[in-house]
Amino acid sequence: MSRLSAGDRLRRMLELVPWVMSQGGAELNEVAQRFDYPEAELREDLVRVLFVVGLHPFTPDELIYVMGLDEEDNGGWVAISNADYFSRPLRLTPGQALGLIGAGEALLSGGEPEGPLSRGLAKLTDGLGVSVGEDLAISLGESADEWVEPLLSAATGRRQVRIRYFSFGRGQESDRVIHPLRVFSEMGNWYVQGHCQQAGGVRVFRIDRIRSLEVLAAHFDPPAETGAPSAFEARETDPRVVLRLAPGASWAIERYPTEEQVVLDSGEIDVTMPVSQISRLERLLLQLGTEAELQHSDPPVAADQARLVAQRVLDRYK
Amino acid sequence: MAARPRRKPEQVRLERLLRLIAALIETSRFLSIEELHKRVGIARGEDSAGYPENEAAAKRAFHRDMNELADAGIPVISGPVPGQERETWGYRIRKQDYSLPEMDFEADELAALHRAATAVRFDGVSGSEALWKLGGRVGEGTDAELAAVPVHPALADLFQAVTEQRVADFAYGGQPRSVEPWTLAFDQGHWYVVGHDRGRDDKRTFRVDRIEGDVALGSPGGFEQPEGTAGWVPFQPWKFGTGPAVAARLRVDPDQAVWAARRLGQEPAEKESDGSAVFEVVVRSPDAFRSLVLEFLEHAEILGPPELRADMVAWLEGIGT
Repeated sequence: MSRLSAGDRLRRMLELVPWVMSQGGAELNEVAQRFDYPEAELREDLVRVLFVVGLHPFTPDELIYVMGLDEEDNGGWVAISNADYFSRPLRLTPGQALGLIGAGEALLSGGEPEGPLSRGLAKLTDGLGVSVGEDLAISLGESADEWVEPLLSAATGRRQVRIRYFSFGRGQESDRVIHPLRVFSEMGNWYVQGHCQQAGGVRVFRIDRIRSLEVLAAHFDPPAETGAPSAFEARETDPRVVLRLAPGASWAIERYPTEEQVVLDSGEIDVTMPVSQISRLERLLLQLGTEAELQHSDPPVAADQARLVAQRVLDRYK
Repeated sequence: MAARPRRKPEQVRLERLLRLIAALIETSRFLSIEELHKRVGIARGEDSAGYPENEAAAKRAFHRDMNELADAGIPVISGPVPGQERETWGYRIRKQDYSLPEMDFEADELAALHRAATAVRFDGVSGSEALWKLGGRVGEGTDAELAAVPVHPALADLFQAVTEQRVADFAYGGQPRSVEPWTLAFDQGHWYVVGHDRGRDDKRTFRVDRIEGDVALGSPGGFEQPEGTAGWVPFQPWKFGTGPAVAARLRVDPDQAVWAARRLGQEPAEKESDGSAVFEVVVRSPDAFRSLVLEFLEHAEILGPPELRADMVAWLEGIGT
């Protein structure tokens, strides 16, 4: 642990003093653990710093009382009093309130049932005067995904699962056994990242495309490191395409990862992007219509890919 | 008592900072720098907390301390010191600004909030830090991160604006906007702020990541929010537009029907004998509807009305020709 600065000590002291006061005293090691304050440092700062803090003119009755500890490293229990000005914790910053309420609300929207989280969140929002769903509305994705919870517990318990999965790219269902590593939400959808036995590698699956799921008895060993999950993880081997977009059409690629964007004198933009699934490129080409032109790809896809897929869709209308 | 080694410099500084905060809270008026120096004390020797005797050095040390307090989020306010012949600026902390409201958490509630804060990561703002103020970290948290929510620099300011009814001024689309913000929402991977745009005198939705530069906040209670305006309508862009409402019929292949129902947020109106699903969708933005239908590639087809169907055919025929 690196050395605590005066600012770190200050923040933690202002957090732990109100708690110890409200408890009427506490075990030193519990205080250290709750407030992430190395115990030896905490003991010293209580005995040699807080004990001499007080109000002018610093007569004994104006100093904070720190009881239960002494300078000889005795005592495992501490009580604090005569510090009314430090008896309440500091209010939350807007960022801290947003982070905590947002995290709680996001998890509830993911399907967590009524329980300690909703009770704790209600106390927090009542206390801070925030209306959940009105002031702040957070959706990490459709909450209808019944598989989020079982996948999460399988990931935590290192249990293999068998899924029947609909691959949008191939347009067909297949059975797979996966080792779920992480469950996460991105761009409004829930995903599970896991090692797929059939594919022989780590893949990302969209949870709303799982048709059925069975948690198996078999466990798995977690891999060393899988890196941060991303639904749009590009692999080295993915084809790269260059699309030329009409001026003002860059909105279309906001939800896709791009590796390079070059704005031409004409205002058009050349965008280089990895294509992990051909269907994803096809969808983009159809939605952009005449606003996009395929410039180049490596390895090549058909130069008239856009026309080919448009024709496939048009066949339905003939 | 055995002689103890000297305290570390950061411990001496901690003592001075704690004394300064105590002095700033325990006053009913603004205190001048000189008064604060006196109330915090003068340092005599390396192990003694307080301000240097030299006036210029003491002032510098005081301003360093004020920055440290600001970094810690301590609300120091300034104003004129009463009873002075020459106007003198002073400082204080109001207890009601400083203190967290009473919230009595059970241990399992703190543990659940801890788990949530570690499961959902807000880049840049830390919900975990908040937990220390609520009574410390209880339980293990989780190492299975469920989601990372992107955070824009203006987000905390906008959240404060919403919860304290402050008017927010910012640039958007190259135009200055003055907005009474009602709701902050995260949907489909993006943050939005909904509110009353004063310049346009109408309700508007802004994407937070398209706000240009900083957000300037007005005073608390700067506007009254009309009843029934709060909340967020999930983002389904085909439902929003300036055009008239059109009832479109969309057929989706059997193996994509479940997914389509989720995407549309509604159940099919009928099932055909081959298992295809037919949805009746209210469309106000034909362009957004076309984009939606094209997500399904050749697995979906607009059945009607004829003008939407013709529009789709014309769009597809224009591609690659």
